[in-house]
Amino acid sequence: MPKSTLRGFAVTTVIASGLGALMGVVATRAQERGFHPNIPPPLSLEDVIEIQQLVAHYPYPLDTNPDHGKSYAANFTEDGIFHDQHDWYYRGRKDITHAANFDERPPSPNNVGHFIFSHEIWPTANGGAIGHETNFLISEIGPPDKDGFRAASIVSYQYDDIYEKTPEGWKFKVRAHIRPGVDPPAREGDLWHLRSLDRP
Amino acid sequence: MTMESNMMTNWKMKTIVATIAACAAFAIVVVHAQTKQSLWTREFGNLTPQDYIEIQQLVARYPYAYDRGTRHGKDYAALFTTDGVFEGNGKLLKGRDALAKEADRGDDAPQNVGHFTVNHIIEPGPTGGNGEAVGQQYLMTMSSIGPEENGRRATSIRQWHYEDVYQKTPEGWLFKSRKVIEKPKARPAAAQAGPAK
Repeated sequence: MPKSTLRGFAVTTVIASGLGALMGVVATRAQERGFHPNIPPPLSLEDVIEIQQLVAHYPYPLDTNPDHGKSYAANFTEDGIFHDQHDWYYRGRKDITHAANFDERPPSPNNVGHFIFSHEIWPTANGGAIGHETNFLISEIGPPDKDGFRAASIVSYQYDDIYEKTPEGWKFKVRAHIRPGVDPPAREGDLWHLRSLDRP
Repeated sequence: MTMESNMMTNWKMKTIVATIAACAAFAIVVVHAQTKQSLWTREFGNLTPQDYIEIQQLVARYPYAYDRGTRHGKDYAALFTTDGVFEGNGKLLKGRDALAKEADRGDDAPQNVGHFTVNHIIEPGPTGGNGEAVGQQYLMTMSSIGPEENGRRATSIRQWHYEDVYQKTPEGWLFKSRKVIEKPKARPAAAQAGPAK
C-alpha cells in the first residue's frame, strides 16, 4: 500500500478518534448536567417569575373591568384561546375582549372575585410552558346573621394553561377554565370550532 | 496564477468565512441576551429575581405574623419600615409600636389562621424598582357564623385586596405601606352577573 494512502488512513483515524472523544465528552457533560432527550430544558428563573406574574395579574382586569375587556384580553397571545366552563371557545383578542365584557358591566375598581392559587409551571419541549391552578369563586348565600354576615359558598375550578413567550412577554396561548368532576355539556362538531358569542 | 497565490486566496476565503460565522454567532448571542433583558426590564424595571423572591417572602410571612401575634406583635411590626403605615378596615396605624400593638394577642396564638392571600402582583413602581416596588394581593378573611352542627359551623368570608408599597432597607425588603380595601358590598346590578372565568 502506498505511503500516501497509509498516511491518509492515519489522519482519518486520528480525526475520527478526536471527534468521537469530543462527542463522548459532550455526552458525558450533558448527562452530568441532567440532560435527557425526553425532558424539556428547564425554564429560567426570569421565565418562571414572568409566568407567575402573568397568572397573578389575570384576575384584576377580569374582576374590575377597567377598560371593557381590553386589558384582560391583552393577557393572551393575538391568536390566544379561552375555553370557559360552559365549553365555549373564544379565539383571538377581539373575541376574548367581547367575552370578558359580554354583560357590559361598568368598571368596579375594588371588586375581587377570582382567588387563584397552587400554581404549578412545567416547561415544554418547544421552549414554552404549561401550568395549572385552582380558582375559588366565592359568593354569599342565605340570610345575614345578627351581625350582618352571610354564609359563603365556594365553587372551585381549575385552570389548564399553555403559555407562550412573545415579544410582549409571556402570554396565555390557551387557558381552559374547568370545573373538576363536572362533565362539560355535550359538544357539537369540532372541539376547536369557535361558536357565536350570542348565547342560546 | 501560481499554487502559492491559490493557497493564499484559499486561506483568505477561509478567514473571511470564519470571521463572518463568528460575527453572526456573536450577534445572535448578543441579540438573544438583549431581548431577554429587555423583556424582563419592561416588566420589572431594575428589580432583580432576588428582589422579587424577597418581596414574595415578605408578603408570605405577613399572615403568619399577624394571625399568630408572636412576640406581642413585634414580628408583625418588623415586616414594616420603622415609619411604616397600615391603613384600612377603619384603622390607620403609623410606626412599629402602633403596628405591634395591633397584632398583640396577649399570648401567642401559634395555631391561629385567618388571612388567606393570593394573586400577588409585583411591579417596579414609580422609581423603576430602584429600592422601591409596589404590589397588590387578594385577601380572604374567614369567620364562623350560625349555630354549631356536629362540631362544625358555617363560614362567612369577606373579600378584600391589598395595595402595597415595598421598600428595600438594610433589613431587607419591608412594607412601607399596606392598605386593605374590602370588596364593595353593593355592586352595580350588571356587575353581579359577571361570568366566572
